[in-house]
Amino acid sequence: MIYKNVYGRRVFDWANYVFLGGAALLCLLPLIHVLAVSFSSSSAATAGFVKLWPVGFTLASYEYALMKPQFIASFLVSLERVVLGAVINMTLTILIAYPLSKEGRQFRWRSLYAWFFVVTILFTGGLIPGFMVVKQLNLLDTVWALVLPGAVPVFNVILLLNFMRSQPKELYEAAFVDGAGHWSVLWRIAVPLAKPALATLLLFICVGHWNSWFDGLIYMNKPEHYPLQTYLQSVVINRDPSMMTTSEELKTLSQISDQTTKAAQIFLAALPILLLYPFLQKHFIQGITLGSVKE
Amino acid sequence: MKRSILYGTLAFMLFLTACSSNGNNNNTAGTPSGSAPQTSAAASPSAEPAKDPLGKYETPIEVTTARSLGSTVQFAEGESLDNNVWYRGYKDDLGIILKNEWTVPDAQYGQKMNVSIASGSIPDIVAVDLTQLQKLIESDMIMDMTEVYEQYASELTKQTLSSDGGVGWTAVTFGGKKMALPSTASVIDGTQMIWIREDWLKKVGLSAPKTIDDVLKIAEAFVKQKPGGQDKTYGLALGKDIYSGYGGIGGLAYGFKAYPKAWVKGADGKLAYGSTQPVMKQALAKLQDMFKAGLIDPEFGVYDANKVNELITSGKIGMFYGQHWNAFWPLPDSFKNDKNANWVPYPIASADSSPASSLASNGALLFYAVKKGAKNPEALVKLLNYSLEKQYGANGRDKRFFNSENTSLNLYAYDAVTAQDPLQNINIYRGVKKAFEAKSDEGLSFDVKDNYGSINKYLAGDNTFWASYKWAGPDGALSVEDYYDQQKLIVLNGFLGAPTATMLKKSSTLDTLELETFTKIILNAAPVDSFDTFVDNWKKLGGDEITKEVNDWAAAK
Repeated sequence: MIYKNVYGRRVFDWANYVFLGGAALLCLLPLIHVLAVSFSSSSAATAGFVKLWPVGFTLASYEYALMKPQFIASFLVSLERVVLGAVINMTLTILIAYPLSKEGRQFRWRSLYAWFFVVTILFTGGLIPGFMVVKQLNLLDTVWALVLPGAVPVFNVILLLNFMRSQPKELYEAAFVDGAGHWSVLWRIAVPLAKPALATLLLFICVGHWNSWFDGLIYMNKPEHYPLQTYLQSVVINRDPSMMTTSEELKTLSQISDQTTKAAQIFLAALPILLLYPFLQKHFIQGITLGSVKE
Repeated sequence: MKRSILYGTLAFMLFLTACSSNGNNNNTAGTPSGSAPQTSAAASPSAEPAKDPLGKYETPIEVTTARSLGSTVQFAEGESLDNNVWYRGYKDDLGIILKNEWTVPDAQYGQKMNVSIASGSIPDIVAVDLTQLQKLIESDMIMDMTEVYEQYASELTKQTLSSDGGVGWTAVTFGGKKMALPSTASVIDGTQMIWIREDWLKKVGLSAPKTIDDVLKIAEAFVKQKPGGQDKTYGLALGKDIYSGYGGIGGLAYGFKAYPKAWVKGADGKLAYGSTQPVMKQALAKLQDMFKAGLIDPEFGVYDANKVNELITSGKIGMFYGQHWNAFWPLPDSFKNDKNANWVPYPIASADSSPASSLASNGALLFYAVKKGAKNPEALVKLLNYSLEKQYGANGRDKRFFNSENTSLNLYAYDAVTAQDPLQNINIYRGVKKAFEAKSDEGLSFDVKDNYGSINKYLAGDNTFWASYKWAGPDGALSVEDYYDQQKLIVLNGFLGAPTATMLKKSSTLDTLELETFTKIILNAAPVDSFDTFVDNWKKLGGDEITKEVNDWAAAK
């Protein structure tokens, strides 16, 4: 408490606030700009008149985005994939991390198994073999093609494994003495203790699934089966107008290159993750402080 | 504690059901493949079609393809890319049941097709670009179409596909064999023109540019007098992609008879790379002069097309090198922001007294090929016959396939196999001109009537049709193309083949080197003489090999 009154300390604090505030602003401004563009009239947006406040306020682009069947369909696919993907990823992560967090004398082939998983981080089959495996398994064009190829997030497994190892062994030993088996220890002790880590992993997984787009492009055969980000990529990238040749096509040019509808769709797509963040953040901040007090 | 057990079990059970329903998927997927041999067995006896270009298969045959879908394409209730007026037409009129193996938004089509090709699983009919075509030929995945085309192509098809001056066929002919059918497109639509704000020209008291020096004078006047009323005005729009058709340096270079990125015949009759010719140095020197005089935005090196749009539509720039389609994008936005913005296209200016020739495009961008082993390769030719018949047939355009009462449906976009009359757009301009002279569009083509109608609506005061007026109107963009065509002011790229072996290996390095060098010269960050170093490096780093390969290709044609 005393050090707070020191003059140097106060200067340092203020410098900190300014620096961090500036950094936060740098992250926030682009988002606000996109939001402002999405609420603006199309010609004002094209001319770059829109900075941080809408010019010619209109909701037309949101109406357009939300009326677009493709947008809704893709939104639902993304939701489905996040829920399925999170359940599968979390379950497998927990089930793999727990045994691997044990020591060699408790789990004989531990390092062999560990390497079995770690190798997949170092080497991958590559795009085409991956595509062929998914194709041969008849998973193409189903939501499983999006969640099964990445079902075991090995990096997350390692994070959780290390977290579990850092927990006091005595807790487990006490449980075993009381007659608990591995299943009860896992679900009653290891998992509840790892809640902060699990919240972090859940966030990683949800953001990862929500944001990935390339697998949707190669594994899905119909645009209506696209997850949202794959669809969004097709909307946002600029097409070369020289490819458009007939007068019918040319007339659609201004519609395709409309900045405001792009902005509206970008914002709508970012919204769910923005909303998810505060809820999970609470968990892992709590986790960190709890840990520090105990140490 | 109990709760977490519950959650854990729930999660696990969800996972189990997830896996089991996956098993079901496998089963259902297995059923159709089991019944597939039956349908194909039923189809095979009927595979003896008459060689009528539009003849119908008695027993319908099944053909697969892959489609790209434009982002603005919409469907009527209950319709889709698998079920629409075109696909029903194929089935009812030709007996061809066309199945879309996959569909992808047009912007991602190339990528998806690459994966298909690399994994060796392509549908019967594919639309590919030249690089992909080359890959398909190298991996022996497609068949020679020469004979099938000769037998089945209708007169109209033959005429349309060769009316681009043969550029399409040149690209797809490998060792005398037609390996694909070009989806012909206009060559002349690739020409450059100068778009200038006529209202600004009047304000500064200058007239249309004839020479590059005139262009410079106009740019100077725009920068000094700021006719748009903005605090900062630039003379000429330029983006980071300096070879873009819009906001690029191509149009200015053509004025010096330099044709960057293209292969043009030199004095020795051999093809030479346009970017490394001495005339290119003069063009760059002129651009550097313009930059020094403050006529070019010093930040152009980071501007993408959207940023260039911004400068043009906000009245900060009144002149740029562009193409015919700028009438639709982004100029209407400029007009919306400022009703005085009267953009007028002019032919490119020349460095000397002779009129300048513009480079044109390579025509076809897509090529239709048939998978090796496909049972009915002629189906592709028939589909193309059908499409062209509906577009340009003797009975005029079949409106069922193009028009609909709901204007947001672009029925033409459902057509799977198509080609365009390379002169279509220029003919629209000529037709509209005729209609204005005769004050009637009686007996003219559908496209002409459509545009003539739109232009008249604009002239009657409906500003939503401004773009059509600027495109096909009396002094619209197509009038410039017509001028090029009449005066024979067009230069064609001498190399139309797929990228050569060395190009595939080296071109990314060489392109980067070129772009960096040229951008630096324009920005006055490097002396004009660094062009000579660039040429030496270009040759050493693979340019000489590429030149040889390109000339070998030309010799083999």
